[in-house]
Amino acid sequence: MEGYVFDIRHYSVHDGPGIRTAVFMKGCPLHCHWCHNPESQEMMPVEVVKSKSIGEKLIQMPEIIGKKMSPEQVVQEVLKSRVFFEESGGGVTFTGGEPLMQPDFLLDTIKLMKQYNVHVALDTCGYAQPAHYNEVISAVDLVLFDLKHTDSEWHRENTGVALEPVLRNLKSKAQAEKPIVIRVPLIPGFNMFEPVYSEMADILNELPGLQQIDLLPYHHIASHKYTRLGLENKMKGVKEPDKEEVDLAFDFFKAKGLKVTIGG
Amino acid sequence: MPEAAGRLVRPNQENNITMNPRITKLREASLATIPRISGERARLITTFYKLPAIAGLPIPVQRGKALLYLMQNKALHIGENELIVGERGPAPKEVPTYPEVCVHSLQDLEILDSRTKVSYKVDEETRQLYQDEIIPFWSGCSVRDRMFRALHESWKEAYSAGVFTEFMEQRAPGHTVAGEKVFRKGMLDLIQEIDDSISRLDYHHDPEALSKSEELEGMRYACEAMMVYATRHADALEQLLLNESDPQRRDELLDLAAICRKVPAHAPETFHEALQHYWFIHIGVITELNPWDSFNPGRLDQHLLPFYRKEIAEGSLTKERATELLQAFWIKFNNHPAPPKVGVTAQESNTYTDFCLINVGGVKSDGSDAVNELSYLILDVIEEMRLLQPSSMVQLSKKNPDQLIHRAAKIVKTGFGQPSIFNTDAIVQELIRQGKTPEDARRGGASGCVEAGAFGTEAYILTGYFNLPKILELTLNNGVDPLTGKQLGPKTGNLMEFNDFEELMSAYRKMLKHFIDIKIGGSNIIEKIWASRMPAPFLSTIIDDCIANGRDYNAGGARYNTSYIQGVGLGTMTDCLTSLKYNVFDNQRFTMKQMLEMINADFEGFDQELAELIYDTPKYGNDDDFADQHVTEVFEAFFNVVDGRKSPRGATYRVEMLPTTCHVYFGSKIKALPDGRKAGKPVSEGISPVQGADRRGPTAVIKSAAKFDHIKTGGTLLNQKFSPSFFKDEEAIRKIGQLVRAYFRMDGHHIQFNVVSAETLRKAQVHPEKYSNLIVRVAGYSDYFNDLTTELQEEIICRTEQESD
Repeated sequence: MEGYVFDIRHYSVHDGPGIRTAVFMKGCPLHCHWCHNPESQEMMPVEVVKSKSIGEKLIQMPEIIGKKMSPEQVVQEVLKSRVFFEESGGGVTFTGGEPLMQPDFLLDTIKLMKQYNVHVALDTCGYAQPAHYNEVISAVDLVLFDLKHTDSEWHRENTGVALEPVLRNLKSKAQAEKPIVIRVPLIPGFNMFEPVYSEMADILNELPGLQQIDLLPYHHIASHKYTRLGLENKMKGVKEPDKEEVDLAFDFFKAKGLKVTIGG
Repeated sequence: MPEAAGRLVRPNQENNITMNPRITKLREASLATIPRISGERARLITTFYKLPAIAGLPIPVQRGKALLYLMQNKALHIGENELIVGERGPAPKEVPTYPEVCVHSLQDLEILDSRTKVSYKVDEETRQLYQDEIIPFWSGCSVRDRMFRALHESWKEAYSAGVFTEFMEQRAPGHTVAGEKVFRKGMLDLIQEIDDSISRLDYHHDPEALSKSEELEGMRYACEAMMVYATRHADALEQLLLNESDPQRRDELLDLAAICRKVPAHAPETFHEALQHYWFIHIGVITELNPWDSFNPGRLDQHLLPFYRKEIAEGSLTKERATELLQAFWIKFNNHPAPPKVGVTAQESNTYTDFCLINVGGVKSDGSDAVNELSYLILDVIEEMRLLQPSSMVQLSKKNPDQLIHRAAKIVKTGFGQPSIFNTDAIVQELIRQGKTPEDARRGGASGCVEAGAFGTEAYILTGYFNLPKILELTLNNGVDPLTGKQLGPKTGNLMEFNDFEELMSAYRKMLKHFIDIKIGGSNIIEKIWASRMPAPFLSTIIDDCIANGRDYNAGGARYNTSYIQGVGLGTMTDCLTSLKYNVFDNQRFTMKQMLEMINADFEGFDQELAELIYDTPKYGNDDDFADQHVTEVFEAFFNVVDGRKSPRGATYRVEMLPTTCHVYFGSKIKALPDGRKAGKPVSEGISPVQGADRRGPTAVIKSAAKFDHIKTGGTLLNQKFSPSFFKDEEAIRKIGQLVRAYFRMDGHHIQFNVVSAETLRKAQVHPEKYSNLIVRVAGYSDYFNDLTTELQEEIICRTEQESD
């Protein structure tokens, strides 16, 4: 069993406790307009051309994004950072893309990872078949769960998929037994409204394993990727939220008795 | 010098103590003063050597009496409202010269005065003095002149070609650090020890008895010199009292005069006495000669603790007063720029910094955690003073609390490259491997840039930098130096005829051995000249067991004696070997002939190929075993030809991996290399990856750097450039501490961070006037960005900036 991975990045410090290694898996069922990793959406590897500087000149060099790896290969690469996990209480975070797009490969890799006693986190959009979701969730130590909206229509319009399967997984029995961190991307014009915050807070206050909410304000950092991949950037013209707007969301969730961070 | 008064002063983050007006003023004066050359010492030493009774004396006695003469006659300077007194020159930043070591020509003086970076103003009177008196008397007699007469042609050719540098051509051996003894004994105690040693001399059986008695007599004069110097200060302070009307300052002058009547003759008993006592000794060491790394109080939080605790308990000292005294102490170091360096010595160490490196933390001699309340107080002082001198470091042992590294990381965050962070447990292992007892090893630490030493008991002398990539260039050219076309080294084989990578490595090892032999041969000659012609009797009284052995520091009198050769360009060397193996031998992307063509063309017209060499070839610093196997290979080759060889004074040769600024000089002596580095560009710095080659984040750099065995060195130097986002909050700073702990768990020796963005550095190049207080970490020290040469500025900008997302 092999899977498609597009990057393994060490010293990741925002995707769970301690110093972590993030495994970026390819393929995503969602197509969020604000996606920071558009190159991850397709399961198959993509070739892009990158400019590299040689003194004053720029040289075009092709680069393939995504490669087929076995669970053993992934684990071997992740374990390069083992000493850092041990010193910091860190571990590995599977992210993407959507890791649950490759459930069997993901599960094999997680099980192998656990043989080395490494802390495993899963960063997921929650859109997956319940059987896959439950099985993978039971094998990890922490879930980082994206909640983008509370209205099904808005959700479908901007991410491409329905909200119900996401909420079903969020409220599942398997999930109730795992620590969970909710990550809310703050997207101007999409979900930065008080009624949305209010409905989110209601959902979150029902979650037994909830540790905290990370608010992730939208930024333009990935716009060059859309150009390079020849994709339409639907966020063109959307401004990054300013500090006051972000603070408003922060204060709202805090007032609801939730532990909130900005930036994760 | 672009220093300006009124630099940004940050209130201390931890306890919000801000410096008082006295300290602020002293600090600003120190920053604003321009370094000048003072002719005073040269004049006095020349007058002394012309005295009729001197020529017939044994050399150690001459040297002891020379220090006595200097201390009797040099001008005193007591600054306004100073709390610690004593200057090497007639005033702060007035830098003496040492013509008995190296006699500067009029042209040297002109260069020192007029060069744009690291200049020292030289007035007309000094030039005249040099022309009329100093140059005629010393020419041909200085240590430097004697050295160059004695050294072989092969040494001189290799030296000129930039294969290695020589530390002892303009400055004296030193590189050592005070131990606990300095703070526990006065000059009278030392004189007693000297007299005991003299009375034990056995003229019946010991063939060296006479030379020992001469050395001990020299030491005795040196101790007397220091007592005279202190008494003169006491007299001068009492004179000042006559005209002082401010009652508070009158009390201070009275106290200071009393302190100067007591120390250094007697052992100090209070915190203030201990600092003044050390400072007199410091001035003694750096007036006697111009030893490398000036001198160093070493484990300051350990040495001062008994005085601090006793006085706090008695109520005679407050934390605020102790802080003020330490701040005053810090300013004294900053008043003392390095003695002037010219030629290659200036290129290898192009800075005003004189490398006094104060140690905080670590373990006690019984191996237990040594961190105490003074450790944190000293860290507060370091943060608030924000001075280049003294340099400072934190020793971090697995036994020390995380609070220590967390506090240190918060200071690193402020972006002036201090304190640097060292692995105590690695240092102790390194020293024990070299033969020190566990207790002596634990009393040690690091000095200079990163050099491990047993403080108070070891003479560990750095002999010079060694250009590892230059050896490869010579190997690739069958011994011919492509810069001159001369056959510089042996013919180790035609590259076209090598069948595999191992043949190339074997040729490299042969070339390496050839030039290490030349280097060590030269060092042995130089060492002998220093031992016989230029002993250091005062330094010898301080470092054990010179008194007991009746032998000089420069002649092997210390308990432990080590001579280092410092390897430079490890990252460049590793990437060159990796490139040859990957691109030529394994994958046949290029033939050897094509590779040489590209190198000879400096890659002009080979853009695509160059991009492949730079971006599509494994590189050291990415935790990639293919590349990293060669870091071990290069290190082991270097280690094996150096480690364990003996010098005439009985020292053992060892290796270190550090560059100061020599990676820029060495790069200027090498044409293009197989890793894609262009001709003349700097080679990699310390054990850091080639600038820009590390692309897998800080953990990968740390993993790569830890793959060779640091325990077999006397120090390695790893610098990382981090964007400020790495330190953005408490949690992020905690992770920096964990990153360091992980490196140290893998036996990493030292790590330091530049917390500055490339963008800021670019702006500073364009508008230097707006960035006069921008400080960066260079190698084992920090410097004002404006004081760096353009090449060095570029090199630092090109280092990979690790981003935290």
